[in-house]
Amino acid sequence: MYVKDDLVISIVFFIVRRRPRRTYVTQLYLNRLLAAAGQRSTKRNEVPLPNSLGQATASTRTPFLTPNLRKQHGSTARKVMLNAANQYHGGGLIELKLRTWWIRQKSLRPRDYRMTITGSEFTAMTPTGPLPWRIRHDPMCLLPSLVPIQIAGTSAAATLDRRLLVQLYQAMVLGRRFNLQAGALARQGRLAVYPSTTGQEATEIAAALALRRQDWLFPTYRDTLAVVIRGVDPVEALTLLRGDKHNGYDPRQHRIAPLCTPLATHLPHAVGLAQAARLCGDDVVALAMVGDGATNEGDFHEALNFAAVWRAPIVFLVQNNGYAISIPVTEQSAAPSLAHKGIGYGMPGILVDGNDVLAVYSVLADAIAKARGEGGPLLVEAVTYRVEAHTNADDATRYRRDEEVERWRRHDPIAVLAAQLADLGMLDDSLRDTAVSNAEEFAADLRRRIDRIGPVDPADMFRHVYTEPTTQLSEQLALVRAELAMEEDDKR
Amino acid sequence: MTARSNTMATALNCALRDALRMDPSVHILGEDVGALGGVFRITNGLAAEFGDDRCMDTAPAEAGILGTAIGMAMYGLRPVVEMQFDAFAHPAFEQLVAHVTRMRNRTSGMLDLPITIRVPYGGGIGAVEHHSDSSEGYYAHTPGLHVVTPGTVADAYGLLRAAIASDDPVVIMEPKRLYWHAEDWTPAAPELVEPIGRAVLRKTGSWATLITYGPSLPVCLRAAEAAAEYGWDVAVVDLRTLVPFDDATVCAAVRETGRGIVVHESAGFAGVGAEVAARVTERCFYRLEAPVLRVSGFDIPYPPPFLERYYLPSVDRVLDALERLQSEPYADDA
Repeated sequence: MYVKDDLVISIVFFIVRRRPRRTYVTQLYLNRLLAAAGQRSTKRNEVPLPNSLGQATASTRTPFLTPNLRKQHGSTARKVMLNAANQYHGGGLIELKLRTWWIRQKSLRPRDYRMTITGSEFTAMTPTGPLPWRIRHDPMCLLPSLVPIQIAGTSAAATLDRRLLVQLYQAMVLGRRFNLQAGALARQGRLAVYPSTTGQEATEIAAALALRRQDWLFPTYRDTLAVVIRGVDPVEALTLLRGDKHNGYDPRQHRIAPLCTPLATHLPHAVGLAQAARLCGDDVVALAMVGDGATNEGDFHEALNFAAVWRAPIVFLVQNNGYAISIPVTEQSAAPSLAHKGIGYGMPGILVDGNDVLAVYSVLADAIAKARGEGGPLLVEAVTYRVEAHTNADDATRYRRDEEVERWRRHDPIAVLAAQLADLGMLDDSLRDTAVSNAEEFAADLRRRIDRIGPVDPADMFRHVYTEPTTQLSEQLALVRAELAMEEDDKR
Repeated sequence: MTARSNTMATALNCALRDALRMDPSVHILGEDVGALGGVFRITNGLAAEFGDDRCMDTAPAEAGILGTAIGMAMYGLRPVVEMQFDAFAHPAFEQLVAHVTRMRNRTSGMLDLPITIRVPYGGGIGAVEHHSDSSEGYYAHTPGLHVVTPGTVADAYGLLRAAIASDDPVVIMEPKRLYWHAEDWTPAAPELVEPIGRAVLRKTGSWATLITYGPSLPVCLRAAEAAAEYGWDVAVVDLRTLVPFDDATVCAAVRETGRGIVVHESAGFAGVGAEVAARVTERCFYRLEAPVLRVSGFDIPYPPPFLERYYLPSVDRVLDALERLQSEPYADDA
């Protein structure tokens, strides 16, 4: 739908300015102007705005390029469009945005996260003089692209390191096998529950591998795969879901926070940790993973706000897998995309294809490098799909159609990567067989060891409530011990 | 106010200053704690002396403040969080209950959170809605948390230093109407730190024991003085720490007299007083001469300032309770 309009705009621009169209702003707002001129249909949700006379008819609007205007004001595109904008809207908001575009073109400033707006163009004049306020910085460079960033299937894929591609492929195959195995263990009752990331392996693996050794990962309850790929023993990683303990690995040793069950509550933790590392002078970046559902929680908002105000070295990765249990994203938020939420905090939003592991990895690596410098936090939205139900206990047929799931299965992340590898001539039998055999061995080892839980001691309930148990806890432990002793006696 | 007397606000300020000086991992965060020095001036001068990084102003977002403090503690810092008023701490309650109280337990001791949360609480200052609540009951009921509440200037210094030094998360409930209460106290040697978990007998007695804490302590001390005119020799126990509860001191004090009354400002139903009464009754039943009574706020939302004095437990109400200890048991008791 956009291709024809893009072509029209590009041609118009080329004629008017004699160089290619460059900015996102131009695309967005020229679309609106062309709509005003009646040259294309308005988008589904767009309400046609009245012109300055309050009349919302196409016939009162000036066509985009008016020869008279060009003659009067010279051939500068700005003045033409400002005139059209005034007729369309009476000035104000659109004029501000066009001014922004014009100044960017004029100065050819590089895209910079914190661009200071100086000069009189952004001063609001009132009858009593200039208003002592101006917008703080350029909002446009914080907006994400309209189309998710992709690398697989583009020429950029060939520029990546081949060893990285092989590593990613092997990790993806292993990740899929892990997901299927853990799901099977849950159905057999050997895990209490398993919320799977089948179909989301690209994002999980990219998140784990893009981090450096000293960085911290903050996973949600669904991100067991990312924890495993980061290097934690799968049996330890699955401890929470198995049910003998709340957490099975040492967070400080692996630099991975415990899997977080409540939504978004770990995001402020990640911000605090990143800020603490910055205060201590350490080079540490935090990667906080969060689902689409959790972006509605208050803690998401507060965490992003704190991160942006403090310019903490943190990257927020929103895995938009389409559903919060049964609620689709369209019913959770009215934002154009979840990546667009970043601009509200003064943080860049980046939209990436979550089923393209090359794209997610590159975007995350870049984001981590930016956050590490003085660039501040970033919000990355990876668009993907939760192929299985919320957990093994959920019935997804109650809220979504099989056709939708099939549509997404065609964009399976492993298939996407495999197609790209085949394109590069890298997908041979040896690579495939090695990956599959590694994965099978991994799954077999998991099956063997998952049930080997040592004796679970009820005294553990009291051991780590405080540094030292209180007298009351010691009394209660004595009660439990007495009960256990009676059970033993009864057995004999 | 003599030359050697200082207010509780000064004592808390000294405690924070000494903690910041002695331990470089201590960081204070909260709303208006930096340049303003806190709405009650408890953090006065700290940002100027130690820098904006050690005493940092945050946006008004309590869940975010406590949540980021958790992250800092995970990295190894020792954050001291200020909740501006008791009732404004509620947005942070999820972070408190879901994570502060559970992180040690969840990780089998591998991750501890040595966080201190300072909460000004209690009424009696003529403030509007939401500025006079007493929510210590919620914190006391949540396992994994230590709850302390000073009633004197010396304890304010000692307990805050102990709370910051403790490796467990501690909520320190600061009685705001005692902030400007002056006593004979000067900043002690830095090593002097009150132990957490120890109640103290403020006044000895032989006829009845008042068990109280925080802003109700001066009320009970005045009531004990007034009770002497009626011929009642009343002891006063200052709990100082709600969790972990000092069963030994409290029960010894009640066994001594055989009569106990718990006095606190917060609503009575399911409050701290109910727990104290239950514990004392369980342990001292056969030495009691009368049921353990409670004098507390009513089970209503905290009233507007004009009606405050009808709500707060007063000296008269404590004396009435002491009188009830004398009488026969209620005729219609079940």
